[in-house]
Amino acid sequence: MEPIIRIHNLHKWFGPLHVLKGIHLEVAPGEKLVVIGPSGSGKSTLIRTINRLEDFQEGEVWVDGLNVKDDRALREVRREVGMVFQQFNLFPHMTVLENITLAPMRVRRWPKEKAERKALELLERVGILDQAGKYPAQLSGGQQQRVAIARALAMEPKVMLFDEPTSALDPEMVGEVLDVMRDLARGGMTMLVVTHEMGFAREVADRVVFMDGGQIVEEGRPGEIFTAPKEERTRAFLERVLHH
Amino acid sequence: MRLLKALFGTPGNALVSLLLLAFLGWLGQALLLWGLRAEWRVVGENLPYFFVGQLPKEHLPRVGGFLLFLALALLGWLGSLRVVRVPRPRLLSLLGLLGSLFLLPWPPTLWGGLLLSFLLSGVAMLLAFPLGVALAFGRQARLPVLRLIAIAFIEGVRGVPLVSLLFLAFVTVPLFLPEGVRLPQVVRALVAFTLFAAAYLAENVRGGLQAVPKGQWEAAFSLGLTPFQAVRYVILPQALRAVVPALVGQYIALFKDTSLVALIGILDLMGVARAVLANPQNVGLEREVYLFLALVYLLVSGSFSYLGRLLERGLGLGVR
Repeated sequence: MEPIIRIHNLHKWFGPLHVLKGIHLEVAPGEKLVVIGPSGSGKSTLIRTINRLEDFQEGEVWVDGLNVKDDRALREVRREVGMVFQQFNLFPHMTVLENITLAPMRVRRWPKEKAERKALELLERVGILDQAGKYPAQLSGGQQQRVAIARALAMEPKVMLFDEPTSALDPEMVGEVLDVMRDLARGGMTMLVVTHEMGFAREVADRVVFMDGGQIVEEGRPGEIFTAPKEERTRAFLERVLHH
Repeated sequence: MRLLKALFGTPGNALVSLLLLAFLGWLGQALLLWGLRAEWRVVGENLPYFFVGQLPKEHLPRVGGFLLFLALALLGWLGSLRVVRVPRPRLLSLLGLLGSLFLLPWPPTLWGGLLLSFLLSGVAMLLAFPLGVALAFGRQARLPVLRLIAIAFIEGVRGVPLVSLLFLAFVTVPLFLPEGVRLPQVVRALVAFTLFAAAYLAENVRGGLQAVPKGQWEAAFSLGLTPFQAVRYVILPQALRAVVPALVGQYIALFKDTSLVALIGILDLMGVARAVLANPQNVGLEREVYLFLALVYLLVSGSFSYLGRLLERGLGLGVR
């Protein structure tokens, strides 16, 4: 099958710092890809280049046949790619419902009724239908992140990017967010997830990518990566995160 | 009880308190004695003159209607910010705005007295708003030319006292006009006030913009919003909320600064006071007139700052 995301020889520098060093990656429609690696390895930067929240200097990124370097195509890409952030980034001056309906109404030009129907449907799916009229500040971290997922899904994206979605959460709230993501995975969504939740990676991922120093060091099925990593760096990293 | 203890708790405190009370008593008595003998007729007789200047009497109902609609617009605006609960706040503010625009006494040469101070500051603030927001964005623009123009304007205006700006507008505005066209003094003053307010507003708004986290831009862009939509729906509402108290303070300062137009011969509240005192009948009544003036300014500024506190409290609720 034609890959929905194609990354070719991607390089990025932050000033003199070479943070992505020639990444090649393809993601098939419906695939669940989990990116792991030590902090500073470039994994967040990598998925942020897919909707070009992070610009890059060399190489190519294609999403569903669209070149993200092309400004005109980029808007289209952003409509088709949902993103969930570590810090939720909900709009604090809007209610939960307004957060979710904003983009469908303004970008997709849906009428209000349709956008609200969709929003309520999604809120029910992420289990917080009763919070629709509240402001983000009135919700717990886990609830806020579930709203953020619903907000991204409201655009009916083809791909969902998760940038460390549980890293800012209190431990007791991690489960509820991962549950929503599992549910989404079962629904067949194409997902790219940067996370430190190895249990989630092992359970949900079709493929795990291990990054270090701006390069993809190793990739494979979760069974292979977690039980029999080929590379020494992968082994050392897993050693640190799994047995601490 | 706590007050008593604080004032007279120790011999030292008691001594200071007694001295201060004696001083205040003496001051109050002197003021009262003067107030009883003062010739308040100078205020009473000229009351309409103080409030609306030389506006013809038949315009008074119009001014009343204008103020009513303005209050309606304000109520609607507070409602849309969810500071107070009103039905259909957007419709209300639109209605109020249209009504007050329709009833706004026109031309500005009719304005006078307190009404002029009020309108001059209000209209200047309103006109300065889009300009100030544009300047705030201009100052952060990626294009160096834009940035330079914005910075030059903002710093230029902020670096000059308002009085000199007023005189400057007074003598230079005619230079930009075609031969034969004369702008009334009030309009020239309005231009000066608008530019002045815009520069300060720009700095306030810039502060608000910087207070909006980068993640808000990213979330808006990741949803496919255009830069304009991101600003309109996500960034600016948050930036403005953060600076509402500062903007109210700025308005109060501007309102008080309108008294400077008396210097270029415009009959605002201050100008009317000077005109009244210039009347040979009223020689020696400066104290009555200026005390009254101070009270009016205090009352208006006080009401606005109360409104500002209301806004501040209301905006803190349910948001962020």
